[in-house]
Amino acid sequence: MDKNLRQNFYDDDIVRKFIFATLIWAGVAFAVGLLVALQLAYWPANMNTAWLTFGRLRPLHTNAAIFAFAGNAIFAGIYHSTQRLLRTRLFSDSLSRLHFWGWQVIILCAAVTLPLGFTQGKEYAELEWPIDILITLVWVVFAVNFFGTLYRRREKHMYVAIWFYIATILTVALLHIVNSVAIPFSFLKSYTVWAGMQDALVQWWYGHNAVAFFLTTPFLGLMYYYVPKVVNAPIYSYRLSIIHFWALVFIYIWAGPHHLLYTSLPDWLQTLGVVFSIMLWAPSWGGMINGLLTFKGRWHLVRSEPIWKFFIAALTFYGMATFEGPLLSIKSISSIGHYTDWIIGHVHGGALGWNGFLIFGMLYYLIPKLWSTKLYSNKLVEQHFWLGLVGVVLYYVSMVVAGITQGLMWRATDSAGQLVYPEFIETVVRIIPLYWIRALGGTLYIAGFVIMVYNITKTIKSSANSLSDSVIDNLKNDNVNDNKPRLLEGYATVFSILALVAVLVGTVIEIYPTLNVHKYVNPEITTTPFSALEQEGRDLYVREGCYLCHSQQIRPLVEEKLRYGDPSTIEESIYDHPYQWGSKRTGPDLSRVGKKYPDMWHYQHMLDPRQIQPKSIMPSYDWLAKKNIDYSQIKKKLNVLKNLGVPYTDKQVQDADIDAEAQAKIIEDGLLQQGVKEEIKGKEILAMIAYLQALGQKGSR
Amino acid sequence: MLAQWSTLNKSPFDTQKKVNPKWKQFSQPEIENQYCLSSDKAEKKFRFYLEGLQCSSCIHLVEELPGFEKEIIEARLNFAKGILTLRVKPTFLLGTACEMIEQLGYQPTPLKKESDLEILRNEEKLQDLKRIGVAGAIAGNLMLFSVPDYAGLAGTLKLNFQWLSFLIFLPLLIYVAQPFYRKSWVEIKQRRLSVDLMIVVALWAGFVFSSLSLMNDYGEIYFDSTASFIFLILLARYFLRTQQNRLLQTDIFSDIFKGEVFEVVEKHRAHFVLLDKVKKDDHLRLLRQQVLPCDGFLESEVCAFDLSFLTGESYPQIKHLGDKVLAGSRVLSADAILKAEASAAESHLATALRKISLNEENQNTIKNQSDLWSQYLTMIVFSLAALFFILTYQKLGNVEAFSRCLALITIACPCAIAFGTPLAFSLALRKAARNGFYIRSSSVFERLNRITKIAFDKTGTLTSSKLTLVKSEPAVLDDEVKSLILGLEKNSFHPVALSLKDIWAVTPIRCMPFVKEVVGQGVETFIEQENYKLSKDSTETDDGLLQVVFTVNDGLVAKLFFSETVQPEARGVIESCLAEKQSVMMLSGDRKSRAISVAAKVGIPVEETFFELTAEEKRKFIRENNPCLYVGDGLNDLLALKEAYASFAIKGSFESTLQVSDIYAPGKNLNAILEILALSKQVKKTVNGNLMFSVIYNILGGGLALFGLVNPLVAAVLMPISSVLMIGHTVWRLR
Amino acid sequence: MNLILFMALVTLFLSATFVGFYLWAVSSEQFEDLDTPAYRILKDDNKKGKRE
Repeated sequence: MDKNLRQNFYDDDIVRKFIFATLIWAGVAFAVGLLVALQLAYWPANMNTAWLTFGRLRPLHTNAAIFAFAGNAIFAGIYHSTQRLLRTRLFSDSLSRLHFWGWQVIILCAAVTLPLGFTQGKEYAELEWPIDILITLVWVVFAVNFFGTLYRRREKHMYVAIWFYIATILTVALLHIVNSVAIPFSFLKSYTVWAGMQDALVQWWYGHNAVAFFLTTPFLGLMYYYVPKVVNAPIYSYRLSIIHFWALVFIYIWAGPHHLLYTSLPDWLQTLGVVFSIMLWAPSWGGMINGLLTFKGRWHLVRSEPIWKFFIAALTFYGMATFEGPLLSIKSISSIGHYTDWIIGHVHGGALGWNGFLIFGMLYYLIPKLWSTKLYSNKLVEQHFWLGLVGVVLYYVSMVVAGITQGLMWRATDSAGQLVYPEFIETVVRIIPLYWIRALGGTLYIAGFVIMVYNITKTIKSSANSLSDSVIDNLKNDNVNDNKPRLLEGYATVFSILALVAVLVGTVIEIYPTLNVHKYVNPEITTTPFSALEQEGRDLYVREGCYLCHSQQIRPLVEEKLRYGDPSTIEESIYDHPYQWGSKRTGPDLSRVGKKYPDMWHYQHMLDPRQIQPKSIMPSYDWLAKKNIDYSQIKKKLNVLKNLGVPYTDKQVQDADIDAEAQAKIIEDGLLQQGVKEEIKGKEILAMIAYLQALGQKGSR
Repeated sequence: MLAQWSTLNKSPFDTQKKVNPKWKQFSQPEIENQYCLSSDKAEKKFRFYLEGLQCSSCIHLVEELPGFEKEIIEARLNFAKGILTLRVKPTFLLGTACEMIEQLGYQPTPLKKESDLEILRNEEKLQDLKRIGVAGAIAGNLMLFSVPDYAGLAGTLKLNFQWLSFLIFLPLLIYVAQPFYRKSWVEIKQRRLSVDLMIVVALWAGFVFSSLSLMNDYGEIYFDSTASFIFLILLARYFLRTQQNRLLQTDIFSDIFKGEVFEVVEKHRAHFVLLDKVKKDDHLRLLRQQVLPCDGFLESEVCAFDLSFLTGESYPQIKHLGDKVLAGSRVLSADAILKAEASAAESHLATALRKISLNEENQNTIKNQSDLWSQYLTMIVFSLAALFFILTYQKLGNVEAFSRCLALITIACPCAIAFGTPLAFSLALRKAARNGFYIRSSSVFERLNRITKIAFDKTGTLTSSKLTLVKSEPAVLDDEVKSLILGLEKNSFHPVALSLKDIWAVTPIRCMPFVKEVVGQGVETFIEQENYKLSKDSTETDDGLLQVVFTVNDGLVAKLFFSETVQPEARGVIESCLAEKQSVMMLSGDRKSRAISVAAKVGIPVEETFFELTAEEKRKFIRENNPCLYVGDGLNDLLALKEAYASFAIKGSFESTLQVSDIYAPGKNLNAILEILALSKQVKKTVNGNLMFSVIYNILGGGLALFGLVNPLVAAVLMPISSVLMIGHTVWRLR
Repeated sequence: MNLILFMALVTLFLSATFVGFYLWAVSSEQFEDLDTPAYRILKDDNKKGKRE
């Protein structure tokens, strides 16, 4: 077909593609989520398979939920609404397709590499360097396609949703690049350039903003478009939405440090995070109120409009989450909530309630339009809504209760100043029933989703066989395109933005060697880096995702000192690439676990935790005793770390494999002496034990 | 080809609809030129005010115009203002555009090029918005670098952050603060102090102090607070300005003649011209219901005009060949031809409207007031600060003394007072204008609060000029007599005639040719030698009734008695005034009997009722009773209105009334008095509240600052908060 | 702690970008009419057409 003629149509096909992807990946994300939830309630649910174990699947769950489910939905919504808001076809059909397939390839890679244990060990940024580069490329494709569309627009005014999309694209690019800078030592493995506290800081700067600019700003943009469309009424106050946008983009970026309260991060930085988090509350609620008031005067219709319910519930959950967020960033509340399931509840209130419901509402609105048909059943939508709502509420309430219960148990001390629950397992057993309720909530949510898939399948089947695209109105005398000067100006801006991104990447790479001055490190305290075998063990620790259940950061609180020992210091993790402070304690903190138990204890515990602790919910890691240590990589690893500033001598790097083998031999001999029957020579378990025994032993306190 | 256009091509135009023929004239180049907003040769740009916009689908319909007409490049509608902007190709004519819009179902009024003032104002608004945005971003980022400082950051990083703060602050100093510099410089040149100067001093003092502190490391830095201070002041001012601009944009004169074109008749042809193209000696043909744009002389034999806009008199007036007719008169009978005496802009009406001080006097009053306040306060605060520094610098040390002075200047910024009072007045003016009051000067709100007495005129104020038929002799008139009387009065616009036609609407009218009307006397005619006459009987009666006699050949046939009609709301209004502890009196030029009878009806005590007064006597009464509010009708009370401490004209001629009376409310009834009194009370409450707050705040804040209990940081936060509180309070009270 | 300084600069850069966007938006009169755009998006945009 004539290319000029094509320009008279919106590209609905790409939207349909992203919708399919959304539905498929939603299924994956939800299923994996349910599986990991079950594993917490009933540990054998991992079927004793390495790649189905919690530590490997949780990253898959989060990545699938955020980048696959929410990501594809965002792209569907952005591509659908942007074309209509700007009254033009997307900039380039091939870029759109490249974006679509590129993104699916990224997700597929993630779905394969994460269960296999290829991870950077940083929450929400686990993907390894080749995939990170792919993400950057696809994101640039998206950006060029989006900004290209922007400059070819026929509508002069950029609706507020467009602004939210712009902020999303620019900020996510920047965050991703800064956080993902890593030095590879093999095709699929690398060490992040940031270490210890620096890594923690960059990671949560990224992590918080991933929430802000991947799960909030694009969704606010979608909300500002789809809520008025669905209700067929203008947004309550357009002025407020503009103010909402500018207030949000200037404040959001600095709330990151609130994830690191009571850590060894300097106090002033923690306070900064708190102050900015609390400031966020106002614009967030401004947005929520603006969305909800759009329904003003139409509340009586909600009863008969099941799709509206999704949007109303989504906005309500947004309000709850943005209220709870600043609340949790207040230090005293954080001291109870941090490391507990409360955070999990908070996150899922946002993800299932706000993101999920908004996406469902959007899909129910979009699909009949894009397939030129009517929704198969409104009744099923209604059922989906109620199932989903009950699911989220069960999930949220059970996790908040679990979190507060456990948080209070951890800190409970008797009159003698002793811990009331010195055994960590006691606090776990108490909340297992709540884990079951959580799994039930998730199941209901998924049941709702299944109903939706059925409803949508039926809807699509009822549509005509040949799909057609929507016509762009008002093109009879299209004079936007002959407006040459403006167009050129537009390209110039695109290129300057791209150039800036490029410059930034360059800057990051150039700047990093200068960043290794550790001003906050006490020069009198020397930290020894991990030995070759310990480093190898550390990589296994990262591979198995141990940090997802065990923290390595003791907060300066009385009860933590009683339970785990002295508070963590910055020096201890100064050579940690990546940092492994963790954000959740399903099991106890491990920063001082070294030399606490004999090697044999660790051996038995890793193979079958229940031999040591009958009620333990930790999975058995018997494959560690079966797989051999790959000594061939160790030299390369130490070399990269040395280049990143870890003080290994040349000899240490040179003899890394020999040193490692020697240390493994010592541990092996010790275990054999104590009666281990299995063949354990050169097995991974030795490296893991070496690492665990080194925890808390390297930096003088 | 594309098949789908068929659905789009269903035309929304009602081609059957007859379009106004006047649009043709808009296509004439010289007319079109005045409406074309673009100087670009490749396209023309027109703006229209659209009536008939109802719902959001109107936006889609109107903006779809380019889809139906190839020559239209773009159609943009501002829904809230009802303004449509069209970009069209040079071959497309304004008249066609108007016709198309009308066929779409909207009433277009082409709008002229914006005046230079409007363009300037718009430009200023954009600049303000930019400055606010930049100031907000700077303040936000500065906070980012100063929170760590308060949270205990120390060492090199702290220094780095402080230097970053310094750098971020510079655009504020160089770009954002420009309007403050400009304004203070202008004021300094005129040897005056202004609030802006104080802001500049606070800004620079904050900057220099912080920079010195940064370089020598001897204290705190205040970049963040100074920036927030500037940001919030800009925000407050922007708000204030948008409020005032809204008020000033009212343009009554162009409202009256919005988009009107006038037919000029020449010897052989006629053509249409715009308001401002009407010249002296043009012969204008006015259609029924059209309003005369300029003063002129009637060239038709006879014609009835509605002069209510000019005189407040609601009865039509008959004008004859050669009579002068004033601009603003509306043609009631068939087409009239007039010869223009002068251009529209030179008409009495235009001159009068120009004088409505909404645009000049009020603006100046508000400005002067605000300037005065701020000058006093600036002077006091500066002197106080200087004095304090001189007295204490030895004891406290330079840094501490300076820091306290800075806190004082920052905290005591008189913006609160300087903004609050004028804002209250402008909001009150806006509110009044919205409710149909024309107010000459905002100071009337102050004066209304000081009056002790309200004096009412009788005729036309407490009573309407409509007459009521009270009785007749004989008590029952037969239809024959009625129809004869009606026949006589058929063409008369005298109150008697109008009320009779009203009362006897069902009675058939006898055809009576050659009726002669003698103003002030009556009407008569001769039919077949018989003389029929309806005339006024001037003998006084006790009950103050107007008597009219109907005679045939001088033989009395019937006698009709009329009374004035008291305004239905008059009693209630006077009761309310009395309840408000205002004393009330009536000043009437009418006879005693009528005056007393009306006074009794409306509830004014007899001892406060004065009658048979000449205009000069009324004035004397007013002078003796000042401060008093005189409520008159603007027709015969000009002297009294002028003399009164505050004056309120319920109706009257636009021109003369506005020159002498403070408040003019055409088309409103007596309840308007209560309305405006309530509004002025509200203003008083608001202003007093503001002043009280301001005095307490300034004394308290200034005191704390001088005693060193408030550092400049807190001061910079407190001051804008006080401004915001004050503005919020004012707006809330007068919303 | 140069990292923090670096991040501060990155943030500043981002803020500057947004300030730039804001200035552009104001001067290209994006915020001139803040009522109509909310209505404008409500137009039905789903007229289907067959491509030939």
